[in-house]
Amino acid sequence: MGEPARKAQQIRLIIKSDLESVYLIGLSVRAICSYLPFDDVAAYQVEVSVVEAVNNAIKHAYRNEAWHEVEVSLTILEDRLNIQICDAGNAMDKEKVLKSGIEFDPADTDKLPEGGMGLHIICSAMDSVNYQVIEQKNVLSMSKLFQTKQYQSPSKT
Amino acid sequence: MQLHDEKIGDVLVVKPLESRIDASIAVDFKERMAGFINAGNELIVLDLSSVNFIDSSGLGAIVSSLKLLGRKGDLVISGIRQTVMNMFKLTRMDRVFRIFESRDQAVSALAV
Repeated sequence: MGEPARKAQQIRLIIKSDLESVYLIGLSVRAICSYLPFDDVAAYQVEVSVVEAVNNAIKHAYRNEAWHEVEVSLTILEDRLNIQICDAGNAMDKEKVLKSGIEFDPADTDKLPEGGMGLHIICSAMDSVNYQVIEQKNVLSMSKLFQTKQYQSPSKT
Repeated sequence: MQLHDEKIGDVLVVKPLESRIDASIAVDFKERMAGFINAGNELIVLDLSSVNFIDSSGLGAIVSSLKLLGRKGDLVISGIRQTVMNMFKLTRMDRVFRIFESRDQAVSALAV
């Protein structure tokens, strides 16, 4: 009889919609990634993608109003880390989310972008990205595949 | 935010002492850099050796500083970690900034 499939493990993090609290999410994601089959660069890509998504929720969905909540859930599967960032603010245009890009001439200093790079970073760094509105909540989903062996939680070794 | 600045000849070395340059301090950082530039500093080394995280807001503040310098000066980067460098590569900003391994190499390049 084969081994039973491992249950997915999940953690949910909630912060107030205040940019000064976002680092708590970043540090938490970094710590979790340190236990997963990611090298330093991949772990950084996960952390920065989550931070960018949370920043967007605060700045755009909630228009910098600090009395709302942003929820981040991380689900560890056998071969990947799934992440969802949820807010109850203004929704983004899904097409804009999934087709984000930064176009500029590196030699043309005057026209270099100073903002609007967050979605491009997420879509470049993560292996899959999706955006949905589910029961009046905006959900940005992303996932990153593990690089090496499949994940085996510390409690099972 | 905490910044250390040091003048070496005509080159100003600015070293953020924060480990994270993110959206919560990006505006402050941008204003501090603008202060250095408006005070007449035209050759700037941004020493990122203490920084282990930058988001797009932090990166935007660095870009803003370069744009404020315009043609009259230059801003180069030193001490960047491999993880933070990945951020520059994801956004193609590694093609915009000259990046040096050490502060001394960066200062020498600007002092020429």
